Amino acid sequence: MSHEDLERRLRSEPSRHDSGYHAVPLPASLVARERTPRVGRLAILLTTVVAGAATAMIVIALLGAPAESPVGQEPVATPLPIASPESGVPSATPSGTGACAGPDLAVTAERWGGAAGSRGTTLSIAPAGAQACRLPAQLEVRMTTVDGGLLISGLSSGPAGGMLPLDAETRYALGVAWSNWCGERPDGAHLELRLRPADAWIAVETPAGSTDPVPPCLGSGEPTSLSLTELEAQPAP
Amino acid sequence: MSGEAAVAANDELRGSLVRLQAERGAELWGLARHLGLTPDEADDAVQETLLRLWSALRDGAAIERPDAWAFRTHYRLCMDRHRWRRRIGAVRERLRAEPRRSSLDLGERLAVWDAVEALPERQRAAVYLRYRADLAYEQIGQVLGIAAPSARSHVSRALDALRVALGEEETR
Repeated sequence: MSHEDLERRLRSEPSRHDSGYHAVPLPASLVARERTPRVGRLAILLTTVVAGAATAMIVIALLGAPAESPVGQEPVATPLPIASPESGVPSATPSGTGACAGPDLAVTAERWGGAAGSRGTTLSIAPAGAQACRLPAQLEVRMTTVDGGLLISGLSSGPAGGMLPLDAETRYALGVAWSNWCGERPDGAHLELRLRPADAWIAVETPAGSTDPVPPCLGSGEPTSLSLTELEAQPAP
Repeated sequence: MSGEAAVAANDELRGSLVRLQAERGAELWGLARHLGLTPDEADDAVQETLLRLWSALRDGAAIERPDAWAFRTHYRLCMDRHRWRRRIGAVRERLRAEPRRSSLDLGERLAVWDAVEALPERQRAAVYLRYRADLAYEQIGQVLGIAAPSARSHVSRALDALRVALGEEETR
């Protein structure tokens, strides 16, 4: 087959990835885009988020977790459905070592990235020293302004009360995704992690080269959401 | 700018974006799909690209070729999206749900674009931009963030690989 034949085929033959495009109508103006929620699939997605948030709030209320008032909007926490049976998420373990405290942990974030309305990163949680400890299976994450004002918070989707071993051979990754921020745009946002309601917040540095963690507004009539995965066991380097 | 002038300027900008969407929307969407995004993600990426272009033009950015600018921004959006999903592990689920045909189905002639799917990511994008979006090598280079000769080299290597793959199929 000659190059010319091949080029002719590339220009003329269909691809199964080329079919299915339907132009989504553009808003009347960019201002309208900021004020008007996008319809269709996004509305369905946000409806799902709201329903999930309601469920999460009920669960939180039943468990007696403390509620916090955000600066701008009513935040919701929604677990990301990405854990698979082979994802390596261990079950709760019996006691034998002490519960982790902030100084026991080395928490780092990958560079923030994302597109199409969401921003996300992956936290890596490893022991800071040789001391093994037990990590709560459900962690709390919040985003704050540079002044410490709360923007949004969320709980990871692990079992409440469960404990996970953290040692030189076992460390964890936690996915974080933030969507639809329609409040006043903060001058930067910082991620903080907390092990238990009474513990101090652990500040996690935003790596250089990250995308701005604050997501764009996709619909001011819908709540912002901070979605967290379950803690996923990672092989030690 | 008066209220009427602002409305007219907005309408003019929007009109240019609607025309670009009509002319290039399907190709932007197809590029996203060829880079591994789902149809829903491709929809979002196209919309985000067009809105970013609109915003840039509104803010007075000097953009000589809006379609090339759109492809470049779109490519970055798609790659960001792709990497982000890969980081949080969701790609594994997608691959299970939508297995890619990387090998040939016996008894079925290999469509040339199925063979493209087996190419490395950058070659795949270069071939798509060359033969579907009909961009010049200079523009392909701008989209991919490489020099024009490198873009030509990616396409050339891709064609060599495709000839081998399709030749093997035709001799079966």
